[in-house]
Amino acid sequence: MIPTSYILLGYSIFLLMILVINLLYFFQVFKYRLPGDASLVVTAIHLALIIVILLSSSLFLNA
Amino acid sequence: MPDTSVLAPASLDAGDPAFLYLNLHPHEEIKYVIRHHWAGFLGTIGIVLALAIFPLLLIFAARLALGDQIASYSMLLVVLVASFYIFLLTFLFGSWINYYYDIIFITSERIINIAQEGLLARKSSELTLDEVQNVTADVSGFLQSFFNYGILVIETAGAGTGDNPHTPGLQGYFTVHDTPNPNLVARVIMDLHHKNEIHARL
Repeated sequence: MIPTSYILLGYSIFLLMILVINLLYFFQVFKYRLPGDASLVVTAIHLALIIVILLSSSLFLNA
Repeated sequence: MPDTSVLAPASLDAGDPAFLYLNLHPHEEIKYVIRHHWAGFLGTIGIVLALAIFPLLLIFAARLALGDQIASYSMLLVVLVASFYIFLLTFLFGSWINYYYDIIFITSERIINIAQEGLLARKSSELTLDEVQNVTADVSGFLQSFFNYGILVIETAGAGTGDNPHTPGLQGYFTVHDTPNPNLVARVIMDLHHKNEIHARL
């Protein structure tokens, strides 16, 4: 059985990596998007889905 | 002239800062902005949907294998499943950026092909309309015929390029995959080419 602290440490490191990658993607979107294109809508949907997963996982972890 | 309304946004201001990186010439106008056809992204969506089922199978298998003991592994399962879906969403977003930010700009003077090649990698290649020698539209297969998209090959007098780094295109050919309505795009390019030729003669 893996200790809880190790599981949470691994999850935190993973989330940090994903955060950096997503920030780089957001940078690209804001630099290269064209006026009136779908970039902002898709980025907002992506962010919303990520937040839903993060919130639901933290709810499960706290339960 | 063919109906080209499907190729360009209704209002396009070439003076917008978003177009600065194209380094447009003083009197150069952006005529058309062409992105890949959405059907070209269906394969990625299919892969992501297939992978999205995987954690559900994992939970089902764990329930069968562990029975009542699954409660002691719940934290690990939650972290694994959440990490998997976050990774999948990030992969999908990155793939979408690769697909959506491959853009062809047809201006009054040039064809500029912007190829997004992963995180922070962008390749821009261009050819003047004068260099265009022949344009070929290749629509093959059920999906391409049904949704009317395909490969556009522009034969040039200069060096060629492709939008796939693994198959960079033949020398002297400018290859763009998943072009929507490639026959119309080919016609538009040839029309602009002839217009430029006539303008140069006058």
